[in-house]
Amino acid sequence: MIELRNVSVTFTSKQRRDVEAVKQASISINTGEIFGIVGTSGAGKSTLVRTINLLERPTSGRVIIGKVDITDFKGKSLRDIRLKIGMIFQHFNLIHTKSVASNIRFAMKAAGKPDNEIEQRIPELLSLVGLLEKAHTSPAKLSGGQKQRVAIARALANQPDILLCDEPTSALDLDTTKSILELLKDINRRFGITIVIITHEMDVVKSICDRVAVMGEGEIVESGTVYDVFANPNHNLTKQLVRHSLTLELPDRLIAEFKGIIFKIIYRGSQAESPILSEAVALFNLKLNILHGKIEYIGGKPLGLLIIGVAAPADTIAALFKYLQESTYSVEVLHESD
Amino acid sequence: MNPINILFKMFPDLGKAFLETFEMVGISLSLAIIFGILLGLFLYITRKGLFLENAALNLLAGIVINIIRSVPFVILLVLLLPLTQFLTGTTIGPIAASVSLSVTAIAFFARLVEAALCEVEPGVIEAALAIGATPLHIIYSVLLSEALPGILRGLTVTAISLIGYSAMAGIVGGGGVGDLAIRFGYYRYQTDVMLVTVVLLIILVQAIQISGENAADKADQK
Repeated sequence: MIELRNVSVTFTSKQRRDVEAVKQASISINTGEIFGIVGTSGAGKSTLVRTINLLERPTSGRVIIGKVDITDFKGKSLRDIRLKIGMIFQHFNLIHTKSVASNIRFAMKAAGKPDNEIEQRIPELLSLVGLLEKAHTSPAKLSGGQKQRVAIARALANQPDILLCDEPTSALDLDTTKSILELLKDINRRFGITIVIITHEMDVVKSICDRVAVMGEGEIVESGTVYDVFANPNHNLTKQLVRHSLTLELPDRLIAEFKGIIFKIIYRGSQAESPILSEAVALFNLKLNILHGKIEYIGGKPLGLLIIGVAAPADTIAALFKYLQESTYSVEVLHESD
Repeated sequence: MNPINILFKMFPDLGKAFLETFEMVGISLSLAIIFGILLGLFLYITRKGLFLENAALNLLAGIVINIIRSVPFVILLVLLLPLTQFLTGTTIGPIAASVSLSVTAIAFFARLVEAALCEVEPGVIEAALAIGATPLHIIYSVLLSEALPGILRGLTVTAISLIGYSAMAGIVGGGGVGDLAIRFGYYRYQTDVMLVTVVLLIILVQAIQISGENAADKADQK
């Protein structure tokens, strides 16, 4: 549905050095999927997403939407494409001097829709986002979450095929973030709209994205399904971003006092659901302590992390280690007491 | 003489003076609205990074406006006498005075309009572009709408400033309240008359200020 081929965006300036905001980025986004683009601030994510609807023109590279190369589009042809691409922003960007309904009306008037169609569609859209009663309210009187809902309603007004989301929840609290993400997921399921979501929050990606691209300093360093990127990060930057999912902090006191060996075990997929530990206990006649652990479900698939402590003779430990290596994704020795 | 007596006695003169002031301010304000908004829009649109980026035109317009605003109004009045003669066939009276008042008003208001337009959040304009609206539609429906409270406040400032400028119009025989105050208060030493006119002016300016603020607040809360 969306393809960016070797897109680069360089900002030229007479006073300062040229800034290469995006360097040779290539992405391919499938129809109907929710695609995330993550990275720290300044990585170039916002610039990259803006090349999709040409709010930023690539200095080089091609932008292809639905098999049509739109890179050189201008004027009416560009506007026609933009009518089919909705966009929401971190700071909502609602027209402050227009009511909620008038904001939506503006979008539909831009598409040249007739008045009766507009007046019919506005309540439809507002019901979809749960704000029917706020139709005549001014944006200033709405909370952040409500403003973003209005922005979503406005972005969907002309039945777009694509919805671009630039840090849509970065200015919202946790609960509001959850409800907005649920709304986006619902819209994706119901209407099959392809969603591209930019964020610096890994939790957002974990919660609704199908695939994700990781950006650092203008380049895409890694991409894949969300599960694979979390469970098996390759690039250092990715490892940094997902480290919260794959590390658990143990108190120093515990590490210092424990007599025995401490293992960190990572389970992927069905492994997380099978009773590997209880089998190990039975097999090796062990006593083991579970010191820390968690299982995350990413897109419904489990990713488990367990920290166990075992006190046993050296050869038993070695056998246990080998057994765990074979039945889990990875085992690592965290600490060994003398 | 007490104020009520003055008002009563001077009524014909005061009435004529106020009508002349309204005439001068009315004409120049109307022209300021038409051309000031257009000029202010022009200044905004030709800025870097916007619709019709054009550094040369932007600079040219800016310089012309700066020159008009640099010249003290009294001198501008005199400098524009040939133009006044050409446009109105005379150099005396409220209509003649309106020529230089309008020039000043347009330049003054254009800068205020430009300032109000610059205050509009760029993100809102970006969103309108992303929606796929035409530039004209965005200017009319988003830009001017968002800038309207600022524009109305600028208009209030302009109107009140023009009342002050119109006092100098007395120099070309334009009449008006300011001119009356100067004639009676300064030249004839009748300070009580001058004070009465000042009080009336204060009331007038207050009224303009309040209605301007109300209009701007209403535009804010649509």
